[in-house]
Amino acid sequence: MAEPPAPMTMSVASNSLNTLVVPQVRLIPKPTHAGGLEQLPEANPSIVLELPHAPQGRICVGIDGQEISEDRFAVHGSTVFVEVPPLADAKACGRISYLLDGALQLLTFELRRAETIAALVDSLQAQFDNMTAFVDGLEDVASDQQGFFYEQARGIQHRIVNAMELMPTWTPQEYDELHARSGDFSYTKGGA
Amino acid sequence: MPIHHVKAGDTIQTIARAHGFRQWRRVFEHPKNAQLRTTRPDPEVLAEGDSVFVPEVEPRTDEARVDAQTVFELAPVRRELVLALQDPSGASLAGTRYTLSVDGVDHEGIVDPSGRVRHDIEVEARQAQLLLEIDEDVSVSITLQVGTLEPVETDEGVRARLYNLGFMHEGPQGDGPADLARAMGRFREARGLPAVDEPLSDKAREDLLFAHGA
Repeated sequence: MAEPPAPMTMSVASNSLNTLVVPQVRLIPKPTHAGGLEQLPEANPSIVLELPHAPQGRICVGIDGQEISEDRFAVHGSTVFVEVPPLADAKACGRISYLLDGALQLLTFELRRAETIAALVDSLQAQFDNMTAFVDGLEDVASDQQGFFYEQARGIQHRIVNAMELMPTWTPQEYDELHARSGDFSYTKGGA
Repeated sequence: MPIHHVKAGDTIQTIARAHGFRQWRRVFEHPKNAQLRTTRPDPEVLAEGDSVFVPEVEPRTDEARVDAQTVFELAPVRRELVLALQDPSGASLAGTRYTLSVDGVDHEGIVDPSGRVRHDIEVEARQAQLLLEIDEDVSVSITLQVGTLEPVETDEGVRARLYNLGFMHEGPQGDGPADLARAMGRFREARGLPAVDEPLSDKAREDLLFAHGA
């Protein structure tokens, strides 16, 4: 069973009874925008997940049982942006957990390497669209966090362009259209 | 004679071991720790900043006959982790599979019929990881900071116990006295205890200690 650590640390005494209440676990529905399945490029993948509510307190992210360090993901409101480490296998399981009103909230999602360039471009385009919409609402985010998000958005944008160049069936018109869309995002906006 | 100032995670047992004592009672029951025993009757629950008098280790003298075998037996040193596990409704988690990892060693088992998990741990152990397999798809992992439970007389000790019992919704630290009072109110209401005028009164702390068990 692949698990990230839950965001719980309890102080206990030895040689004495410690009564611990294990919180109820609520499974969060999978993100709707990707149907719970994210297709990822092989190198430096990243994902944007929308939670049903803004997490409170510490949040833990895990991929295949390995905890993702806190400098590899960021949370703004109900949106979580995760830099995913290179996947060892073609598929991986991800989990996000946090406490809300005393109950442990668990979101599970699946990750899969993109098998075709078309799937990769679609995935990247979806990520970029999400990111573009997301950064538009970043007015109130601290500058250090802005830098993180802009850097990630720029990385996605680069990958879209790189993937497009590998797409043999891409028509010039489609190429120009997608290129123009990716160019909507300014590299120099915010702290990037 | 040294005075040991307690840091997070220190217990009489860890302090005694660090100063060369095998038996913690030699430290705890020393006459110069009489006041400590009054304020901290549980040697495993000290507060940061407490002062513990640590006597000198006295060499022991024993007789041994020549041309004969003399056996010296060390008294066992035991430190045990005892957990009573419940779900939010108060039902025990008896029968749940668990893995308790301490110092790189995994102890697998099933929560006993009384809802308890018991394991001997090393005196030096400061942290353990408890993984509970709630069902096939869901498991919960809890990091246990061993020996860091502060006395219930301190606000930190109250917070920690309320958090362990699932009443500190704002997290183990909370945001301040108001959170603590609200959590104590939730605890008393859920346990059917009468309301108290002062949420952190001695009586309220005593009720919390009874519910938590340490």
